[in-house]
Amino acid sequence: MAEDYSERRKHKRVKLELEVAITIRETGKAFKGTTMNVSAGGMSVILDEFIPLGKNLILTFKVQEGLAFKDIAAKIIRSNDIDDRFIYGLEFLSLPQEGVEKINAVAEIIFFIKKIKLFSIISDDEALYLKHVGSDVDYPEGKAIFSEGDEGEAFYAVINGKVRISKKSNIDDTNEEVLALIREGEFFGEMALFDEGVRTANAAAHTNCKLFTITADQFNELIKTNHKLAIKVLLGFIRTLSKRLKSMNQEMVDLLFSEAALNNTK
Amino acid sequence: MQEHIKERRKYSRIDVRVSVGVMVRDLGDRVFIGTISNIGADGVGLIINTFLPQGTTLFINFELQEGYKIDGIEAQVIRSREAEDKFFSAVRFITLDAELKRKLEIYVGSILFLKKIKPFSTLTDEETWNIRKISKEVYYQEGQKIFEEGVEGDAFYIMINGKVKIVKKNPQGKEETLAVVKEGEFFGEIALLDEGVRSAGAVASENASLFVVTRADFKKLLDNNDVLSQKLLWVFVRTLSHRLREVDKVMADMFFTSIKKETVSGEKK
Repeated sequence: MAEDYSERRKHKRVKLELEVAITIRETGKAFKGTTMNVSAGGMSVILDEFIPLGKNLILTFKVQEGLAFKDIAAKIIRSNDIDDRFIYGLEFLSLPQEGVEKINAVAEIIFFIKKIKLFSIISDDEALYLKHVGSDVDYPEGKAIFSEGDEGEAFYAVINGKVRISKKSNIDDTNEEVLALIREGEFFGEMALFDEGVRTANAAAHTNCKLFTITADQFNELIKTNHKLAIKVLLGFIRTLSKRLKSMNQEMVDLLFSEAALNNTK
Repeated sequence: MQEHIKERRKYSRIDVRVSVGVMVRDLGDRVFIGTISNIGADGVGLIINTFLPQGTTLFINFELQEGYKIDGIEAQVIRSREAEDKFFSAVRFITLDAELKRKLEIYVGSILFLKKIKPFSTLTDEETWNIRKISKEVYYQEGQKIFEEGVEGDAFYIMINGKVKIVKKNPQGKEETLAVVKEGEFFGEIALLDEGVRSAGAVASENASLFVVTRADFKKLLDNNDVLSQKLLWVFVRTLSHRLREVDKVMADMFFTSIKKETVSGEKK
């Protein structure tokens, strides 16, 4: 049973659960199914009923608010059954170019969000939801994202590019000490979500970069409206932050040790 | 709709929902199942589907925690009123023996204590009750190890009294103190959420009493309760974030101090 390789190469596939109305063009017989995955080239659908092969199908489905498709021609390119249900691989035959681009854009978004290690345990549906909770922003190289002493209001994750975290040097007021370089998939500024307080360091675009950002207000709204997703995100934070704390504790202990060694050699 | 009158209460009450068996002497020892809506060391508020007149003598049984049953307490109905499709009765304990009364007082007191812990301030009485139900009180003498660095961890600790120091071994094997935890604070919570070994050890630096919650019990509690899961995870994330800030500060000071020291002693960095 051949996979559709050409489909995969051209269009990213995402695991979204969407409701689809399927009609056989010739007879008008209608079915209802749920997608297991979707791409701009087609979808994999699961149904309770058997659809005869070789028929011309018409599909109606909605990817998200503002992105709905009606009467898209499609054909079955593979079929499978599991228990008492049927899975069909459908290829779109008449999706307009604009639709192709829009579905690909949605897939890109989901792909970006899930690149962020913090969100690696969320589903594609949840990633799409999260995208609507926050927003993505572009920063040209050198532009300041926030400065030490600013009120902290949002959390940032790097979709692509690099962000430089720096602090004014304690010894030399004119210089900045670079504390870290945040890369693709990593996040910074998260304290703004949990803590009131001002930024303790500067963040600036080290290269041109695209960031995903959620404000404290948006985050609190998420916590109130989507418990399951909120729990996953909080767990993600706990995992990442506790790793950070572990390595900082290690650093501190090593530092204390080398301090003591330094004192001993005086 | 009249709220039950707040009598001048010697004992604090907490709002909880606990199933209770009520035996009514005057009705030929008939037994009813009701729900306690609030509890204190002097009595309970009862929700039941029978009207119990003032002065009715009852014997009540309920369970505070697994293995912690309160059996056959004699009590009296002070007053009753209708409450939607059921009845509410304010009930006062008559013959609560001193031992049992003390136990109850301590139990209710520990819940009130937990509620005062800043991170738990967003929990309802009921949610705090649910955590208390799965907590065990433990005691450590000064110098006793609570858990060791490098060993699998599966419990979380809340300080009731005393002090505990969080320690980590340096490259020479000597223990450095990372933090000191005191009354109203907690530690070891990562073991509840992540498998893995303890990244630091904990030792009582004074005689200490603590509540301990195991991972298994904690998971069971959270599996049935999305809202509580979220509240607690939120608490843990905030605490972690706060701890990171603290370590950051300490390290920044240390760097500054060590640079200063080197500058003063004339050595080049």
